[in-house]
Amino acid sequence: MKRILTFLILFIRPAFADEASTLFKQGSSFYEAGQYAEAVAAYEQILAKGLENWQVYYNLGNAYFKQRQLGRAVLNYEKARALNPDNEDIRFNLDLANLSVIDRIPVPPRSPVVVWLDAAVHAISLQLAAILTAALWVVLFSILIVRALSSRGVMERLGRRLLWPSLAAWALVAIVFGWQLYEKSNYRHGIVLAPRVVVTSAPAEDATEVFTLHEGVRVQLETVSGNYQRIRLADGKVGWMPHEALGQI
Amino acid sequence: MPMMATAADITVKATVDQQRVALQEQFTLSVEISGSDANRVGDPKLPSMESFAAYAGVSTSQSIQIINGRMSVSRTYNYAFIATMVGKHEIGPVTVEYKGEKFSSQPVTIEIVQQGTQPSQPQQRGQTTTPTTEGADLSGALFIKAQVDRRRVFQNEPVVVSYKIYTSVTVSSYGISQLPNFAGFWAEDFPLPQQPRTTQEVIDGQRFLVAEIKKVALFPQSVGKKILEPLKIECDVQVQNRRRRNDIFDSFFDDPFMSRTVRRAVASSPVEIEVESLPDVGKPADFSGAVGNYEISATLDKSSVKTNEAVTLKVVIRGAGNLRMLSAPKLDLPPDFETYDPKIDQSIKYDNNRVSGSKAFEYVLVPRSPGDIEIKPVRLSFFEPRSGTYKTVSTSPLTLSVAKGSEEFVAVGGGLSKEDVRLIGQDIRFIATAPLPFHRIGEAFHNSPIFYAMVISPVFALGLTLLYRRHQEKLSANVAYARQRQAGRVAGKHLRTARALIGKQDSKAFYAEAQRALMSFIGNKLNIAEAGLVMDELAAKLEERNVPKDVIVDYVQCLQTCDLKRFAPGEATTQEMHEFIEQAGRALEKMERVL
Repeated sequence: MKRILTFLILFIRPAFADEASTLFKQGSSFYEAGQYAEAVAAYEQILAKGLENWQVYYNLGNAYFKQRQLGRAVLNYEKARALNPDNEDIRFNLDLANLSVIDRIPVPPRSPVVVWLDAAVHAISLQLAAILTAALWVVLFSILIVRALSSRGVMERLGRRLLWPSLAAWALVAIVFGWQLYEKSNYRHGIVLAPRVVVTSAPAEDATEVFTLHEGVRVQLETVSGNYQRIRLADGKVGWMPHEALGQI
Repeated sequence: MPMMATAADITVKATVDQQRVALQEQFTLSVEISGSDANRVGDPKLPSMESFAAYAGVSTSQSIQIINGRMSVSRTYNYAFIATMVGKHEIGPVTVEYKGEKFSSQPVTIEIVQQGTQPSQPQQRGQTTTPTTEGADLSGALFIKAQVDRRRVFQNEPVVVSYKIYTSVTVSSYGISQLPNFAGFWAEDFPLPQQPRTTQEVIDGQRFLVAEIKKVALFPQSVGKKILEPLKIECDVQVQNRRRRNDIFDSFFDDPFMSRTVRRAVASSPVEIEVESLPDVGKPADFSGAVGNYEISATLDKSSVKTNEAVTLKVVIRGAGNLRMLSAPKLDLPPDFETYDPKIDQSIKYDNNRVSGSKAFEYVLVPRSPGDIEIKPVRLSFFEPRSGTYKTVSTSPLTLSVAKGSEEFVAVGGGLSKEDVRLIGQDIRFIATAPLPFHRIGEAFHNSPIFYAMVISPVFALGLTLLYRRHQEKLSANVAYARQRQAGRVAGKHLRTARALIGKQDSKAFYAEAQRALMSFIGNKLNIAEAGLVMDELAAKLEERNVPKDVIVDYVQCLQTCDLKRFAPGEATTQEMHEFIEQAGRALEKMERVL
């Protein structure tokens, strides 16, 4: 009980939230007045306090977009989308920003099965998947406990009827949750922030240039060596680029 | 009379169409160059013929033949001349040059005779109308004039050429035998009535009937000196009896009764036109070759429209000039319009040496997003030859209010690749303004304590439930287990009762109670009936359970004490009873530990 209470307090935190809300409102009014640099500063201050939500990232993306900072705009839209994958506005603006990205990386065609599976797994957000997994877990065990306590009667019959459906439902959301968690921890992505960056074949300055990338391109992040980050493009090209030219989603 | 000059694979052949030609008549000198390289040689060089003929123009034709895989090309130059001097003349060799080599034809001869002395056919007399070329000298009485409205023009500025027959004799019919090919010009004919209208003109005291037979507007396409070739016609001229008709000039013909028809070929003289290039000074960037004087207007067929519905923008260019060559003006539309190629409609009038009219461009526009959209003025830049300057006219701006249609506008198609997507110039969506809860960065439900609690606690709860349930089952299913679990409690109860009896001075009841405590404990623990339990039997059963000897001895001793005291006469002292209850308690305790 004490744990739950501390958790709730963590989420509400009135003092912090008040300050963040004030900054958020400030940022929004700066944005409406067309003062995008000031809007960026206000929103970034919220993040500097260690607080976030998808709206902050979305608004920040907008403010950067208005300042023609394409890389940062895309990065913040991606962060917003990670928190709220279903939001239409985020997706619209992200798509629009991506149209201005110079590099066009052909995505190799995927089989319909893979596309369908991917869409099915990402139909719900990670948070919702976690909540559902935990909730159905509790439901499943409640049914088991009821069954253990009453050997006959209404409760027992109800429990017997609900056991298998709830087990199946739990297994489904647990797979989705596990899959998303696996993806999140194993496939990290980043956005190129520098206007133009040379990707080399090795993590060294004098290495051969492999290709160049431009602001706003989404890359998959692999290993890090010194100041260099190994990246992989959607079409499978691999190379190294300076770490500071990237922003991690 | 073909004369051949053969060398390498170029052959030059010069011919005249008539060996005898009347004075003032036209003849043609044809130069045919043939051979596989014929199309690469330069123009032929003509010998000097000024002494007996006047140059009237040239036309060329070319034919290519491939026979047995070998290509042969022949080019023919037809030079028109007017005979000017009577006599027999030799036309010297015509030469062409190819790769430094000279090829020449054999000379040809031509005889120029006085008019009327050329007996090509027996004279037709009587009531015949068969045309003859024989006859009087009509050169002063029948000629064609090519009139141009100006001789110096700018590129693309029209020159109106009108060809007129001047005649003082009766022309019964005429036919154009050779039309000039207006090379280097875009020609537009003026429509003329089928039956030429005639007017009268007096030149040098002579009255002429004038008929316009061809009128053409020429738009020069290239710069430089241009020569308009002559127009040739053949006329049937009726020469009539002067008595029957009081003609305006003296007839040369003797025949007093009959009229004759004479065929005459006449040609206009070539006209030279100087074409100037358009000045570069002040040339607008969007100038696309329009020359003349124009105005432009634009209208929309409706002022309000729904998205994805078509609206027509009509741009009309009116004026005089090279209207036919005007290309569709470029529209500067907001990018959220879809446009299609315009439908072009032109109506052109020809009057008074002017080519004018209007050209309408109908653009179909489909707006993709709602709002009040301004259509920027459509501009047209043209060169005005009269003032020699460039001018730009534009339409007034138009506004179109677009309401949202029923169909949903999708800016970015899901399945489209980046290149397929047309950037619709639409702005990003507005920021989120709703108040909202914040949370720590990186904080997610799946690594919050509540998540772990929700995952772990049901497992514990179920485990505890199962343990409890197992216990309940054991209790209800196993008597021995139940008795064993109750043994200590039952023995304790009897011992408490016995202790209470100490104060009542009833030693017999006390010992009976103590014995019950000891016996029930063993009976319950070993699940045996205590009633029929004999001391030795009991000791044996305990030994089977591996109970240590000393514990058994102590226990049995207590039981024997009880037996003894119960049946012995006299009361035991309180002291004794206290000691015994301690002893029995210890024995029970020891037994409980091992059983």
